[in-house]
Amino acid sequence: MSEFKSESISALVDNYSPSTDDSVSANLVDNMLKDEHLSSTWQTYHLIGDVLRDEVPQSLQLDLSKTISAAIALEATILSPNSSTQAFVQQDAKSDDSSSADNVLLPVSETVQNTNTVIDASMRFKAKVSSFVKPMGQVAIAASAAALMIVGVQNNVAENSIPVTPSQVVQTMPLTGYANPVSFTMQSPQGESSQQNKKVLNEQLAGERAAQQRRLHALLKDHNQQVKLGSNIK
Amino acid sequence: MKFSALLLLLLSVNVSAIAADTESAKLWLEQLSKSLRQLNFTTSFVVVKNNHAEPYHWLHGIAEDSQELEIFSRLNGPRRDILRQGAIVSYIEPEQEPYSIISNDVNSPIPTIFRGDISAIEDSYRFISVGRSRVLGRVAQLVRIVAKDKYRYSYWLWLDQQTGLLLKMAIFTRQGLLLEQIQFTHLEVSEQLSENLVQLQSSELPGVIKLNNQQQNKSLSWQVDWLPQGFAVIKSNQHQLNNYHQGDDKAVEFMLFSDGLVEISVYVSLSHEKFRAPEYASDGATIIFNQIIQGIEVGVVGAIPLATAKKIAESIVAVTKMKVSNNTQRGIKGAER
Repeated sequence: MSEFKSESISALVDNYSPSTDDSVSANLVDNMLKDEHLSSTWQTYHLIGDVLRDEVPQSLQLDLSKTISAAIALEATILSPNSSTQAFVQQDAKSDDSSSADNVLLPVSETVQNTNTVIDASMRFKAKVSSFVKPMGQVAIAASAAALMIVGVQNNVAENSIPVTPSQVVQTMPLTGYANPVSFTMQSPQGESSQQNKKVLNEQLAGERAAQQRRLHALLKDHNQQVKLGSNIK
Repeated sequence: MKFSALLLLLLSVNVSAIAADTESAKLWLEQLSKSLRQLNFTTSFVVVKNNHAEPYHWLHGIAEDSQELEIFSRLNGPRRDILRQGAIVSYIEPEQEPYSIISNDVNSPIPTIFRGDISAIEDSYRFISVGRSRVLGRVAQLVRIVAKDKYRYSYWLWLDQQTGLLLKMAIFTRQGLLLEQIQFTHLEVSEQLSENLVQLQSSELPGVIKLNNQQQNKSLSWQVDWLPQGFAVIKSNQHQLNNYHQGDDKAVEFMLFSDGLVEISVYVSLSHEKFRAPEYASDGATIIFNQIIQGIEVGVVGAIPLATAKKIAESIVAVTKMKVSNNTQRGIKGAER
């Protein structure tokens, strides 16, 4: 019976449906939802399928819901910040009470206060311990993760031959910031200032620019020439 | 406790790895130098700067008489070739008659030091072997030549794992901005001399020009007071600077400095203008800087950051009478500062 059901679940996982295939019984889905064993089989088969198709996520979470509920159950320490504020509020309430001189109610609130502080103290202790332990653990985990990353990067460099530098990105967009179709990028504070009264000085500016370009080009050309001719000091 | 022990272990591994990186980087650069001098290779590369690319052909080989043969030719635009037979280097350019000079240096896009002794630039640059990557379809070793100070650029070289030859080169600023790069597009290493080189071997190069006017270092009236560590004067003279303007040549005092990898030219002349604000242009990594202060026009050209060029230009001072007597020493003195 169970064997047969497993088989039909397998068929269902493989995209057969009750309407097209005999091996899948019509009320299988209903049975599966009721039976915990069957639903876990369904889950396992999907996992097997994922593994076969190589679609397994990096960190395998077998049952997310269980871990979450377990984590929630453990998460009692959240109460601690509330408890301290509660105490503070109640102290305020107490002073209000005394000022209103409602003496009958005062002892009652006092006792409540007392029991509360006892609970608070124990809770706060727990919270303190956990808040002390937690970051330590986190630091340790972060440190070990960083250490592993260092190892990982080093290994990558050696094996996958990817430099740890942004060079790969830079390569695809060469010479940003130096974008200029002409062979020179020009910049002169003089030119910038005269741009303000553009219309009047436009011609003058153009002439100036041309002269500047000539000067700089002459320098570059001569530099290249001199480097070619080489040293005369041996 | 466990974690800290693990961390300590990892740290110690890293420190020793860094030391090993420098050592292996130097070995790689030595291999490059050896390969550039001893292998027969045919390559093509593209120089990318200022958003445009210039393709080149580069052939190198060793003749039977163990003479080095080399051809660089620019493939776009007017012909610009460099031919080399041993120590004779010929430049064929559109602007002037072909000429040859006796030189060990070939002024190509590939820095000359790569075929020389790389330890010459060890004082100014650090060598770091970074890792492997794939360039030109080959396994490439990335070696960085990192400037030790902020006054110059860093060079990244991708070297062929098999032959040690250059596959790619990039020039970066200290901030990591890419200024210029050379990407090889073809590489062939062969036993035989390639046909072009066989042809070069039998062809006659243009006449060797005599560098009479440059031979002696005339005493100059200006000196550079500040240069980045490691730069030394390699030439100084007075010559005409062709200004592209109806033969309006201008006499300049000229000094050429080098740190082994980068050359800096400094031009000083008196100007009829009293002042001109600094102006500059960049051609890839090369900066061209020019300004007039108090009637003195100063030009600085070289593959250096703008701030360095500016600082050099500002350090120009008149030579006092005493120093004029020994100008060679003066230049070197300037380099030491």
